[in-house]
Amino acid sequence: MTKKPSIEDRRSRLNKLSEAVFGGPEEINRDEALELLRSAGMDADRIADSVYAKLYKQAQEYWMANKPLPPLLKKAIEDLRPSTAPPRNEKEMATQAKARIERVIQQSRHSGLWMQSTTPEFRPSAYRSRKKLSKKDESALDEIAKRLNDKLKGPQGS
Amino acid sequence: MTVGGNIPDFRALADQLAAYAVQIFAEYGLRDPDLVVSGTGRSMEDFLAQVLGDYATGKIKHHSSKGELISLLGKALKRDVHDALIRKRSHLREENRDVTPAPSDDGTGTEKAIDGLPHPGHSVDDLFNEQEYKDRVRAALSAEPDLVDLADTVFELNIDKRQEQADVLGISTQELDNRKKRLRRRLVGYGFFAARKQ
Repeated sequence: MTKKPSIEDRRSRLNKLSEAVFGGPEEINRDEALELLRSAGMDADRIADSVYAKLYKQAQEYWMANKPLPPLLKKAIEDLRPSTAPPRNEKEMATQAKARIERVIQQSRHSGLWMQSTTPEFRPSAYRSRKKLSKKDESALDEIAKRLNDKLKGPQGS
Repeated sequence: MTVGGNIPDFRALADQLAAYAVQIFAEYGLRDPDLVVSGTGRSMEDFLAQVLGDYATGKIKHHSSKGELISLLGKALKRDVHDALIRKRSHLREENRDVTPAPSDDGTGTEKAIDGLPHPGHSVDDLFNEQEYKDRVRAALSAEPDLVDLADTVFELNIDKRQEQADVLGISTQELDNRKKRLRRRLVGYGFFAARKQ
């Protein structure tokens, strides 16, 4: 009679199958990780905040026992500290301000791109339908229209 | 503590491990939308904090010569999830012993758990059932036959080397990596989409 494999053997067998099919965690880079979390309907920031709270609780035990905080635990708390948490010192305030400014610049860049792609070209067609314009007036208006278009396109357009 | 390695970025580690945890939950059909191993009360965040905390306090030690830190922490995380599942099943078995068999239609009686629902396969022995695992993964990938083929290079042909898998499928290793990415996304999306629908 064949002996049934132990739970450890079966666990190890499934680990091997999983590794061979899906790969290990080292194959999931950060961008993919965020994408996977999104496709599971999860918010990476919320998860990080919750992990931060649990590690902070662990750190409190050291503080209460008057023990020095292990350097990696200190680093973990710093890295996971929510960006919305009130700054504890000037350095943190500066970091948060910088991050906020970067976000605003990033947003304005996006809206700039949107403007570039949606701003219509100045089309001086209205005056062309007027019959009383002389050839001279027409060419003067064409020249103005060209200058305005060049202005709208900016320095790289000229 | 990292010995001979760089100091890690814990936020990046947390994101990567969270995604890996979601994958493990999906592999084992744990579809609780709150990512809790039901019956243990332990959530995905608990597992993550445990592993990161153990590493940060030196209970888990990493040496760069033994591979990447994320691999070490991923293994620890998976072991913790498995242990929680084993504890849950052991607990259920203990509870089921005290349950009086309820009569079924054919009069033979069906064992019922405390929630009144039958738990036919809920024993520790059934936990790491290879066939059930393969069926679960195949069901998640069924909409994309090329991904089922990839899984079957392992399930049916026992090929675990990347280059050999690519050769059997007739694709480059780069394409294989892309398929594995799709495969992870499909598994995770399938598992949690189903959970949200319940």
